[in-house]
Amino acid sequence: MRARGRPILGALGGLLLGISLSLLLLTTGRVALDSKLLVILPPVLFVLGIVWAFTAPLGPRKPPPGWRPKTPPDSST
Amino acid sequence: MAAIRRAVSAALLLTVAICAAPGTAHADVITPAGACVGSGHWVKSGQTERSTAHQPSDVITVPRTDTVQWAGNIKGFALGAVGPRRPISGEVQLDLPIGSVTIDSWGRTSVRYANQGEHHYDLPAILSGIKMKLHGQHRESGRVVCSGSVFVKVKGSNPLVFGALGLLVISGGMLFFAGRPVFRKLWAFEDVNPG
Repeated sequence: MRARGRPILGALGGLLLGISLSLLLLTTGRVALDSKLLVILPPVLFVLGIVWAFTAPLGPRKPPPGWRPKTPPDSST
Repeated sequence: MAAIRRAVSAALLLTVAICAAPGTAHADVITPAGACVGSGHWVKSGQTERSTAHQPSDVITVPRTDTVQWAGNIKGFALGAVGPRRPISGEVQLDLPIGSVTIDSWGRTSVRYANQGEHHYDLPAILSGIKMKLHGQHRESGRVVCSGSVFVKVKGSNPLVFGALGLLVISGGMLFFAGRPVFRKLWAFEDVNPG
């Protein structure tokens, strides 16, 4: 059994977060249209979204009740 | 698209071109200082801007819709001044994160060394609130006579803010679920010994 997040969802979420943050910064006039930050944010958050999916401390990291631990097969029983 | 480009070009060009007329001694968006001068007056809002009253880092806020009466001249020439015909060229460009786009340019030959006019513009709402850096230069006989840059912002709030906020909430939800663990069964006794 292996616990992990959803990396594709994380990547898409990160990318969308980057785009929305860039858009917010731009439309509220916080950064100028020529700012490099606007093009750096989406790809950086895309990568961070994947990392987040694997490492986020959300929910249990232990298996839910009813799951058997990994044991080698025993054909004699 | 061409209409938007023309409208943006008009307002922004006017702002840059407009920023050029004698004013305070230390400020100027033009390099070299005073080589070209210009000014503009927004008819409805009553706003007046001069190139010598701003620094390149200044943000000039302009109305989304208005009529501008503009004037500009090369150093030492009064409005209406004429002289020997010479080739001229130049452009005004909008800086983007990568590269820039030319929103207006001029060329050929001219006998005029100063000019003025009036222009009505109506910019789309999606440009409101966005801080844009404009730069431009003017050449005479192939030599750069003056150049300058300034930030321009169109008055009003941008409707895209709401879209961006919505997208922010959606992406936050996606990241929340992306961070929740997914348990995958790799092997169990029952898998190889059914029943």
